[in-house]
Amino acid sequence: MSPNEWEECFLLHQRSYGDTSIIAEIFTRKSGKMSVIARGAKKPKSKFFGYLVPFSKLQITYSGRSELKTLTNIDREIFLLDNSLSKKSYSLLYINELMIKLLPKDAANEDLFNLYSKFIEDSLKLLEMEFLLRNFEIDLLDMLGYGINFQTDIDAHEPIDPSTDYIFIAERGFQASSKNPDFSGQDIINIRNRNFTDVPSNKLKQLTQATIMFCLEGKDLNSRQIFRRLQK
Amino acid sequence: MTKDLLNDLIQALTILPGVGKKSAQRMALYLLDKNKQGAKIMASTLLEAVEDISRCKRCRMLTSNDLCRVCSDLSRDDKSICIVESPSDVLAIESTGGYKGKYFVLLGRLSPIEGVGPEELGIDELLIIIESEGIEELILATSSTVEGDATGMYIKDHIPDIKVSRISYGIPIGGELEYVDSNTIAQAIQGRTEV
Ligand SMILES: [Zn+2]
Repeated sequence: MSPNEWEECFLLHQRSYGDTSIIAEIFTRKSGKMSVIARGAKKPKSKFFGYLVPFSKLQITYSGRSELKTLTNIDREIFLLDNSLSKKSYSLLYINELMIKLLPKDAANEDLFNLYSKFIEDSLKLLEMEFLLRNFEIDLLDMLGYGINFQTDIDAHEPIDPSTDYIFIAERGFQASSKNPDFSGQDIINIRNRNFTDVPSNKLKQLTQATIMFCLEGKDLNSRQIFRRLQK
Repeated sequence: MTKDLLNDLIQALTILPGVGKKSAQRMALYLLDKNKQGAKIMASTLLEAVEDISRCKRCRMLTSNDLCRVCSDLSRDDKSICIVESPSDVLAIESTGGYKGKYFVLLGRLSPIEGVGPEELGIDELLIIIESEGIEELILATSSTVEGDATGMYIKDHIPDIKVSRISYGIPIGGELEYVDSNTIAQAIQGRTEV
């Protein structure tokens, strides 16, 4: 991209670099996930000061040919957390850990950008995060190529039957089984239609989590460890 | 090879935050040329501090005693704890003189991406203090970021039913200068709120 072209992005994570600089992991609409260095960003007089906060939508310009780009300009649509504490912060940190660990570098994916952007917007409006999280996880898995097959079973490749019971096998799919079933066929159809109201919520959560664990290829999810005790 | 002590001193000074080679040169020449006595005091104090200062056994603030100045001060309100992220936050709040309770220093905030969890922040120790000392009020002064919120919420989720309020952040307190902008300053003016 030309050095003066503005690009839309979200900051996923930032860390200090030296005394005054910040290295930020960002997720851009046109170029995917990348790292940028904001030189002098911790100095109050810096034009970057106060902008490099997760979950705010930013407009930036950057330069450089190496893997680590240099931030040259920044602007943002304001994002302000209210001063009341809520469990929403747990969900936001979890989603950002997923983005950092699951997204390949430099792979542009505008659908994914829109998905993340909509998630952030919706999470500011909603009080109940559960369904929003499940929707995000299912869409994310789809876009990363790990989509769950809600259409047919894994043995006979028959369409899911509302009156049959199924177990879910991560990385494979649904298998008809009357022994300790996870879902009824109707549950699976409901999930496919994103109608979560009548689906057992713990089972639904296990389904997305098992698939995410498979995608992570052995990497740990710290947010799950940290917040486990609380989300029951 | 002969020893170049002047250069060594300049090098040593550059480890300080905000001190580059030029400032380090100026400092070294000042100490050696203009204020040798001050330099000697500085050197011995620094050495003593590095060797003797560790963490307060109760609140994790820096101190050369078992308990820090605040924790051992009997005139302070021992039913109130203000929870901060760093020792510099304690110094900042103390300098306002407006708070008469005690502290707990987390030495960080929850950060799943960096692998910082409740153990690193000493939250179990904090819970023991709250229970054993019969604490009646918690003031959460974690930073005004999503991680700071999650940290505050996590603590609130784990304690018995006592009064919890959140300091309104914004005015540059301690290590969170990088997040200060007009929005957060506006928040700060609203004062602390019960959560
Ligand atoms: Zn102490």
